[in-house]
Amino acid sequence: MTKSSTIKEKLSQLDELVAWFEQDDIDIEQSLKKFEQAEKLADEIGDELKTAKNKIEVIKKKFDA
Amino acid sequence: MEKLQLSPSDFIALTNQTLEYAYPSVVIVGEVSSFKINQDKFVFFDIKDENASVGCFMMKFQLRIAIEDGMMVAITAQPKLTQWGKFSLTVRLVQPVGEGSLKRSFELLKAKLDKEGLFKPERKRSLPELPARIGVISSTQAAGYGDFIKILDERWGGMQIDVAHTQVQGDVAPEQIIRALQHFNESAEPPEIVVIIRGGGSLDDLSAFNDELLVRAIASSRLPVITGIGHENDVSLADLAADKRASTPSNVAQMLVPDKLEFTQGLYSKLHRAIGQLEHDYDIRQQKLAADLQLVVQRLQMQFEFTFGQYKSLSRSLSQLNPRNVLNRGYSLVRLENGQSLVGAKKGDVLDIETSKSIIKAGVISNDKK
Repeated sequence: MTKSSTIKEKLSQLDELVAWFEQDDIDIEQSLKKFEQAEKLADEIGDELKTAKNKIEVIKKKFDA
Repeated sequence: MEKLQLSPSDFIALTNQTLEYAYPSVVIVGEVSSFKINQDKFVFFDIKDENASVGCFMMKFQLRIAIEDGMMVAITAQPKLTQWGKFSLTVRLVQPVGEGSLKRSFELLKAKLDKEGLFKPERKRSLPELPARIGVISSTQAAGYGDFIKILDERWGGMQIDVAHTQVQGDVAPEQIIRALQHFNESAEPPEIVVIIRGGGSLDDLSAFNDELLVRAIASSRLPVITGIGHENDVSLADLAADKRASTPSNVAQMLVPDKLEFTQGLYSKLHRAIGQLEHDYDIRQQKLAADLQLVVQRLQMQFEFTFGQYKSLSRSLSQLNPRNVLNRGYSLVRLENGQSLVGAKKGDVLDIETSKSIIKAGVISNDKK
């Protein structure tokens, strides 16, 4: 799995959590736990984005006619 | 040499050998006239100036730009004597010469491909969101490529970037770019998007991106293609056929990925919006709770008042029933001294007469039936 896929996965988890907050009837008790989870994910994504480097590979194949 | 006897076929073959040796490839610049395509396969035209004209022949698939009579072109060709003894130029490459011809050729091909529907907006696919793998076609020595990688690295990380190094100008560029595009499309691990990049240049430099076959290859690519060719004002046919066109190579990077700082800030503001919603909900609940409590208190108060009212009227009735109140109004209570009922009182019995203020002792004189 590339670093980018990990970030993407975490982003979709975060999206799910944010969507949970957007529903009409939320349980206040649960909300604190969910918010902590979401904040932790956002921190992790931020950290990963700060450190993740792109891997550049020049293809060896020649494209001459 | 004078005595050499040849058949017509041999003569033609010999002449062609001589021509090939002398002019393996010749570039002639002139004006196109009598342009025609036969059987959708063979292209015939003459190339001429004020004084002379030479017949040209080529295969249609080799003609990669649009030409018409009157257009100035440079042809790369080989002189040849045909089997019928006719002199002709077998053309490999036709390029427009001068700004007027370049523009005209561009417009002609654009109209043709547009008519075929290659540039239709409904053909355009959307770009992948946060791509993990990108294919880049560019010259790794080009400034535009450097700009693209620099901006891409600044904005987002963790991606696999496969780079196909090709020429991005000149005769060989279109074919190399087509091959690179094919390579990505046929790859076992294809990128999610292919980026074609070239920095700024003259109209002539950018003409590789108006090559008919390249434009068709971009339009038919299985993978979405984004182009960043030249400067903002340069629009090539490759740009029109691509799914997305960026104005410059740097702009491609901006369109492909978000800026990581802005993105992270966006995440936190999304969270704060969510928590804001939560606080709002909580406030509403609190307000509702307070209103509910008030209602309960009001009800209790009403209940109390009602009960208290009932108590008051009951205690009023009770006080009316108290015999002492009757005494207060001036009446007296009479009973036998021993406390028994007056009904059985006999002459001589002592009576207690109770008033509000005192108890009077009295005697019974008689007790007759009414």
